[in-house]
Amino acid sequence: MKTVDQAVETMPHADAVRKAVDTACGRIAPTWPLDQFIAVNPYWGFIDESICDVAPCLESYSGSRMTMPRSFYLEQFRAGTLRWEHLQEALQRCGARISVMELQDELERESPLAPRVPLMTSIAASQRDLLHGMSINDFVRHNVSQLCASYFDHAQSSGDTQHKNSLYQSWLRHASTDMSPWLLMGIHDVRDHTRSLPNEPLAMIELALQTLPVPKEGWADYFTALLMNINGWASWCAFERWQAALAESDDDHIVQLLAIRLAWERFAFVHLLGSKESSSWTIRWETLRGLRQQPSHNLPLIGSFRKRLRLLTKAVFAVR
Amino acid sequence: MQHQTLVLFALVCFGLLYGIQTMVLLNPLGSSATALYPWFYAGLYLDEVFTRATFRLWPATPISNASQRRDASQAFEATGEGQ
Repeated sequence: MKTVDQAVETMPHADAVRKAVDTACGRIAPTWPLDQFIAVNPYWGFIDESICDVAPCLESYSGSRMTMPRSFYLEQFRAGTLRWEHLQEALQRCGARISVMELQDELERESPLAPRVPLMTSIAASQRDLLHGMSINDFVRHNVSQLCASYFDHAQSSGDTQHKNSLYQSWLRHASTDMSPWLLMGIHDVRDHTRSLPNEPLAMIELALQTLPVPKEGWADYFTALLMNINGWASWCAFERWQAALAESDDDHIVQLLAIRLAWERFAFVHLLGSKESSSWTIRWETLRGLRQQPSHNLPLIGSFRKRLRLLTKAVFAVR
Repeated sequence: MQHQTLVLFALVCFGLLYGIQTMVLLNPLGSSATALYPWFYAGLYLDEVFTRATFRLWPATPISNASQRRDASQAFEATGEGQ
């Protein structure tokens, strides 16, 4: 991941944007339709990297823990499913220089989640009254999902006026007349904001990057986190691209989905946060930069100890 | 008499609905269908209106344990308090 970030930093602007978009889109594991369903590993898009390096990154994109919590293993240990010799074996196989007692102590302490890549919609949601209105983060997910469900319905609906446009243009047209942000959250400016946006998804992405204070080396991470914020439809778009590649063609629905999500980010930043970069935004990017540069120092438990936990998992399966 | 009025009202409503559906199916990209699409796509905004009313009448209760809900924890983290 470091190499991608460094490469993006030294590239000309347009190439760097394209590279970051391609990297983020390539990180999304495709999903198959239910009648042809196969399970795809979420690590699929990171196939060239080690799981230990990627797991904290995936946590920071999605906010989901990539291993079972330590309390689970502690429970197994207390229940006798995992025994002293399993811990010893795990330590030997990892070459870790700690005692079984210390390992047992480690199990008592929960490993921290990697800090999440900050999103403007989440920051805006945290500053709004969520007791009397919907969170903008939930709203965006619902709104974009509904649009995708309608767009990718494979002509199941009887009345279809949307397919003369691309996914991004369908969203532009829909959002420029949609009253639901006002009705659900009391937000008035979405329609005017949408009418001022460019017609092409890549131009939208460029515009968002000019407005949003995302560091250049963090573009790919930011885009990945945005796609994982709406992972179901991002995975569907990745499947469409996969199928297109099999036919030696290309499909850019996933780029359009990213442009839609970025348009919401820009809206949240400009209209809800007053174009002010909050301290939590800056701090979070600095923390993430530190983690990417020195993951083993900052996340010792999510690095070396994860390996031990995986071995413990293997031990649990072996016992069963 | 009242019963007959209700039947007539229902018949007119169904007639109107079938009329609109026929118009949309015959010319899905026409100006009338295009103008109606956002309204019917949004379910005439009934869900939004009732959700807003529900929030007013019964406000959500604050989540005491942030880990109970992923978004809540993200919002919590976004303020910088999660570190």
